Amino acid sequence: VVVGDVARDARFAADPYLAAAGTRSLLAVPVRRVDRALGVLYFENDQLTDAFTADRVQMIRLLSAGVGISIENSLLFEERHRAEAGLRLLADTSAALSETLDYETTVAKVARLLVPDFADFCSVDLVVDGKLVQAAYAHADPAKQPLIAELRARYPVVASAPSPAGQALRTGKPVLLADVGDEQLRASCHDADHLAIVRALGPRSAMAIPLVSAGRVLGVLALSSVTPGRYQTSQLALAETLGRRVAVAIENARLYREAQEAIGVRDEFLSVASHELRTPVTALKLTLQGLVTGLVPVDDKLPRQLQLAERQTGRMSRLIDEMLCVGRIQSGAGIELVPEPVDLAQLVRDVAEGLGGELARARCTIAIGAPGPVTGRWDRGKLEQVAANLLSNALKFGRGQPIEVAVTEAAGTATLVVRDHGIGIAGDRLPRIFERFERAVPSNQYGGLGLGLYIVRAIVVSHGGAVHAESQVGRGSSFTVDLPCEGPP
Amino acid sequence: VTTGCVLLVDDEPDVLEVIQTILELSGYAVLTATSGREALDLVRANDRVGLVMVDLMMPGTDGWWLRDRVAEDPALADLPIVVLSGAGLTAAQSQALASSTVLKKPVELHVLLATVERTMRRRS
Repeated sequence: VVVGDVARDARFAADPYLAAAGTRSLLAVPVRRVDRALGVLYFENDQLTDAFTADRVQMIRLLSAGVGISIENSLLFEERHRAEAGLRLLADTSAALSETLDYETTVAKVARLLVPDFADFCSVDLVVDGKLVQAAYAHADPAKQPLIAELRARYPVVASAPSPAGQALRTGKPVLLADVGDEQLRASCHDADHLAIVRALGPRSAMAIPLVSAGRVLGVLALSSVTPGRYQTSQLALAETLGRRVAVAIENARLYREAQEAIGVRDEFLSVASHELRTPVTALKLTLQGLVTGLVPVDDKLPRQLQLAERQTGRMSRLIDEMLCVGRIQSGAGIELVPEPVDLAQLVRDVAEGLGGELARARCTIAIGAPGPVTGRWDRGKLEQVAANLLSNALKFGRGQPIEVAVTEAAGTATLVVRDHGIGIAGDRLPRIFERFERAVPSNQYGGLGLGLYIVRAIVVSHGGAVHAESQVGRGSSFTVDLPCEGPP
Repeated sequence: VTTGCVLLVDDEPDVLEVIQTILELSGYAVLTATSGREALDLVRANDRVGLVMVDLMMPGTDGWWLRDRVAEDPALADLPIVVLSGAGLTAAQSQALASSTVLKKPVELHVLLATVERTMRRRS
C-alpha cells in the first residue's frame, strides 16, 4: 500500500493515529512466505508527501522479499530441527523398547527419555488386572517428581475422569490440548486439593495418548508442557507413533511373560507327572523282578504280590486317563456324555466302597448321608470319576479325620457335598483350585497331577451343573456339586 | 546276617511293602516310616539303623527335611542316606545331593540290592 498524501487519501484522512503522528506519506509492503503473509514492512514519513517514489518502493519490495526468504529459511530450519529431534526421540525410545521384555523397566525408561525435550512431565498408566496402575512417570524438575506420584496416588486415572487421560482411555482416541487455561485445569480436577497439585505442576499444553494394541486399550501416555502452545498436530502425530510403539512393546512383553508362565506350568506338570508315573512303575517293576529272579518265592507270597501289581497298574491307568481326559478338554473336543438313569446316592456308596484299601491306609472313615435314592439322567462313568476325585482329595488332605458325604435333591437339582476336616485351602488359592495344574499345596508335598478338580469341574459343567468349594486353613474343606436331574443340556 | 537294619521311608505304602519284602528275603532287617518325622524318631530311638533309604517327595516332613535333620545331628553324622526319588531334580538339587547315593525310580532290583549291600558292608 502506497499513500502519497495521507491528508488527501479518503481511507486514512480521518485516522486518529496518523493525524496525531503527523504522517505525511506511508508505505506498507507484505512479507510473504510462499502462500501466506508472514508480516508487513511499514514505513512512515512525517516530512514529505510522495516520499515513497517508485524506485524506493521497488527497493523496499526487494528488501521484503529478502526478509521473507530469511524467515522461510529459519522456519524450515526449525521444522527440520524438530523433525530430527522427533526422529531421534523415536529412535531412542524404540531402542529402549527393544532392550528388554520387562515392560515395567521399559516404560520407566521411555518416560525418562521424554523429559525434558518432549515434555516437562509425563506419566504412563497401564491396565493391570482390570485396574489402571501408574507404571512410570518423570518430571524435568526432579523436585517436582513427588507431585506426580502424589497426584496419581490420590487421583488415579479412571475412564470416567474428566482429565485428558481419562478421556483418552474412555474413547481410545488421542487428546490434544494445545493451550491449557486455568478454566480447563479446573474442569479436569475433582476438588480443590486436586487443582492445587495440578496448578503446582502447571501444565499449559497437554496430550493424552491411549496405548492401543489389537483394538485393546492397554493404558494411557499423558504428556504435559509448561509452555503454552507447545503441542500442535505435528507433536500429536509423533506422540501417537510413540504410543503405538509403546503399546506393541507392552503387548509383546505380556505375551512373553504369559508364554514363560505357561512353559513353567508345563514343566512343573511334566515333572509331577513323571514322578506320579514312576511310583507305580517302581512298585510294579520290583514286584515282577522279585518274582522273575526267584528272590520272592511264588508259593505263599504270590497272591499278595499280584494284588499289589494289579493295584499299581490300576493307578497307572487312572493317571493316563486323567492326562488324556485333560487333553480332550483342552483340544475343545469336550467331554462325551452317555446319559442314563443313575442313582447318585448309590453311585457315591459304590465309589466309597472301592476306596476301601485307601481308606484303611489313611485310617479314615466316610459317613454317607442320603435320605433316599437321588436319581437323574447322567453319565455314570463320568460321575464316578467326579465322586472318586472328590473322595480321594478328602482322603489325601483329610489328615485321617472322618469324611462326611451328603447326597440330597431339591427342586430338580441333585446336590453332592463332600466335607473333610483336614489341612484346608488358603484363601488366596481357593479361587484357582479348579484350574488346570493348580494345587492348593506344593507339588513336592502331595502327589497327584493337579488335574483332579479341573476334571471334576469340566464333567459337572458339561452336565449343566456347577461345583464350588469352601475352606478354612486347618479346619477342612467342603466341595458342593449341583447337577440338574433332567441331565445334560 | 548283618550288623544293622535298613530304614525305608516313603509315603507310598505299596513301594514300602515291595522293597521291604525284597530286603527281608535278602537277609536284612527292615524298619519302615511314611514321613521324615516318623523316620527321624525311629533313627534316634534305634541305634541299629545302618542305612536310611528315603523318598524325597512326601507330604509334610519330606526327604530333604530328613536329610537336613540327620546332617545337623552329630550323633547321626555317619548314618548313610540313600535317596530313592522319582522327581526330576533341578541343577541346584542335584548339587545338594552330590554327596549322597541317589537311586532313580524306577530302580532295577539288582541295583537296589547292590547299593544296600555295598553301603551296609562299608558300614559294618
